[in-house]
Amino acid sequence: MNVLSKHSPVPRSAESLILTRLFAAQRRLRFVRSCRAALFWFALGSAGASILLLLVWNWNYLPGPWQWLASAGRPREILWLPLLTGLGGFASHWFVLPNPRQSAYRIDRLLDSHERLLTAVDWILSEKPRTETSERLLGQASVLVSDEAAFAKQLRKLEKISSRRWSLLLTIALPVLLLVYLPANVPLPPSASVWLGESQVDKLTEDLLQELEEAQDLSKMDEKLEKLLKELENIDPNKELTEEQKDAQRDLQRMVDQMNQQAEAQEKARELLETLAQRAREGQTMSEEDKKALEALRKQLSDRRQQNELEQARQDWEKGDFKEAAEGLESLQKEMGESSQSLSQKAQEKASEGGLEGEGGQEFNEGQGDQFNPDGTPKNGSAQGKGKGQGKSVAVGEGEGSEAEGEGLTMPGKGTTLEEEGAHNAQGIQSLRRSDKQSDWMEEYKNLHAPERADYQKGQTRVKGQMGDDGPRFKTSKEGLGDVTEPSDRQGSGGVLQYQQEAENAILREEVPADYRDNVRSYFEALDRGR
Amino acid sequence: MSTPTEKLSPADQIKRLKEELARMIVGQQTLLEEVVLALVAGGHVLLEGVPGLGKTVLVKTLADCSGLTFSRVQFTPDLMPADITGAIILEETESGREFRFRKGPVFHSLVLADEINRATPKTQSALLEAMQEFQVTVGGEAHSLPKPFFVLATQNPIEMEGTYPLPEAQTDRFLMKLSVERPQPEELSEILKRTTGLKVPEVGKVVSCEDILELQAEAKKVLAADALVDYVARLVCATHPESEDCPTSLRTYIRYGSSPRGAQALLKLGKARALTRGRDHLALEDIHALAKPVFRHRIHLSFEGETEGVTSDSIVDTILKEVTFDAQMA
Repeated sequence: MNVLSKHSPVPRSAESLILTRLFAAQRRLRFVRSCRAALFWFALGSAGASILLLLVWNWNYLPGPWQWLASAGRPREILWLPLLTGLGGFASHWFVLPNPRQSAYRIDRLLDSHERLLTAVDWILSEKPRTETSERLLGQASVLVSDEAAFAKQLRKLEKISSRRWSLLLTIALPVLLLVYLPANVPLPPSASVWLGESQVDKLTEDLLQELEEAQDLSKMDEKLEKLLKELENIDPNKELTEEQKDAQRDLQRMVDQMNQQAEAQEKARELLETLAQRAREGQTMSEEDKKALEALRKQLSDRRQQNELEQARQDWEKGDFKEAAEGLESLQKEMGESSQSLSQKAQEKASEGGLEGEGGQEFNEGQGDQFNPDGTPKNGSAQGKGKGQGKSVAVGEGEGSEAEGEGLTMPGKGTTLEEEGAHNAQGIQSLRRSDKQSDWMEEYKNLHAPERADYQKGQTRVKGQMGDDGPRFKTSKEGLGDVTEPSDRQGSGGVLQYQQEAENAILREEVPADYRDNVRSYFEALDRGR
Repeated sequence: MSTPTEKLSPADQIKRLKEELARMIVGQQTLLEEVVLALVAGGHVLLEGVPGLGKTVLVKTLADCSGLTFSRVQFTPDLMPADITGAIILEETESGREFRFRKGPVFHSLVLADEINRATPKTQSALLEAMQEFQVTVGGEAHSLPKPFFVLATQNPIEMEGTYPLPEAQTDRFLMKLSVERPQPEELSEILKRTTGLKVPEVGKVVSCEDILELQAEAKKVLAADALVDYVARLVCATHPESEDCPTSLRTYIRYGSSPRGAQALLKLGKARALTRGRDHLALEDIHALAKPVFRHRIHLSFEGETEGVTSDSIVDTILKEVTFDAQMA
């Protein structure tokens, strides 16, 4: 007697019996296939998680956005990836019932029944005309699956989940092992802090060309400078300046400004040379941007020997002698750095000699040069900060400038003088990065973003500046930082530039991915343009 | 226990027929089975083999076992179509002279066309209508052939001298082409024992003409799942080099493949085979077992195939390997 199940001993037709057994087989197949898909996708997700962990571990090869993930450490949440992919794999099969004919065929293969069940199922599902032969076939097919217990036993052999348990275990364990035992993430190498992209070369070239446009020829300046200094030589500080002396001071101021401008152009050229040298050293082929940059540099170089050296470096680079090219460019970079520095110092000296105070020197970060000497060693402090009345930067330095104890944009720590900052610079960013004393600069970095710094709470950004005879010298509103509704008493450019310098220093010490350094620069450039 | 009056099942009848044939024919079990299958499926068979392998004996024995009327036509280069189909002759009767159609040897249930490729193509073509339409038209009048009508043609390998290769239209009418293999030493020894002594084995009639017609009707009733029918169609398509189903490796070797008649033949034979196995349904193994004899003469090799020594059988093997059965297709 054909019965559907032992719990329901009602005789059923052969057709019902076949379909019932077929449905059981379909469910079994669905379960097995879902499990198999889940394991497959789990393994895939697990492999993906492992690869991700390894990539994050050595994050210098990752593109920009991923570097943040890497710098954030090793997220444990990555273990969700295999679980989610496994679940997805299971669901992808669970909601699809296997094809009935395919299931029937699988049973036929299992029972070695020569497609008897497949034909029977085909006859039932296609509703083909019933004949004596077809009825006989349905009867034979139902006999095949009539014994429920035996059929259930057979079903277990229908399809199997992979028996390679060791590989499964390894798949599950791999990301966990990596998460626990993989050494700490590889730190950012110093070279990663230098942006070597072609767009940066392009940008530096543009900067240089702009500086070159603004800079004036200083070849005939020396004579005029000496003449002006001679006129201002005998100024009595107790007496009021004559009109001629005031005119001479203004002329001197303009010339010092021009020298600073030139020094800045040289600094830009040095920066560009440094980037190009690094690109050459990295073995990158010369791009159109590089060619344009070299052309701009050629304009900046007045010395024929330097021009020849640049040309030689260019040829070496084109030929593929990257090392030679890099060395040539580095040599020029060194010369350019020295030249920029000496010009900057000269401007300061002349300003000092001419009795220019306050606004006579260069701005805070100008003329400071890089934090490194051209040969890569850290500079021994900055030229500013000492000396009497040298430039605007002196306002926050030792000496006669006002102390940086004001609200808002000044450094929050009292007594953070420029001399101290010079000392920071003297250590050099690279040495700082390698330094064990992370706490100092970490503290500084945190302070940089302290709420009181930007004065969000008070809603007002004011900086005490130097007071002249008739009140504050400048009233400048500042963009982007704090409240701009009320003008500052302090010279705005100094504050912004000081903040910029501090931020840049902190960012250079912090392991910020190279991609994001550009954003920081853009931010301050926007501020600078606004100023 | 079955009594003599009890009707045997189709499978048993076929089994008895094969056993009876085996009394006369030593070995060649596959050949015997395939010939019987063709008889049950209602098709014709082309037997190929060198002379002296027992092809004619097989056909004669089949006639003896089945009780079918038998005729033999020895094909020669000078044989004319009328020698096969028959001709209208002027006959003297009581009422005077009149034209009467005189039936040729084709008007028998079992026709042995011996060495068919020795006749010219014109004469070979005389069999075309008879094999396909089961009738002969002479002088504008169609004459039906007896039922069942079964042609067993033998041919020598075409490389032999004095042979005319059968035209494609002719070969396509044969349900299958069977190769008669040389007997093994022990089989040959048995043949010698049976045929050179005083006592020659005799066979009896085990099935009647009606039985054969009944078997043919039963074979048609065998059920075939749609997926299997689709599979047969895909196999046939795969023999065509321009088809998507054709394996890439074979495309250069095939000039053209099987006609739809090949698919019909495979399905018919498959059903007959299922019947001989006592099944009411077609199985995948039936198709696989019969693909070679069905496609062997329907796949025509290209020049590349000929020069590289590729055979039709190897092509069928590859097709069976590459074209997989998919139960979901239906």
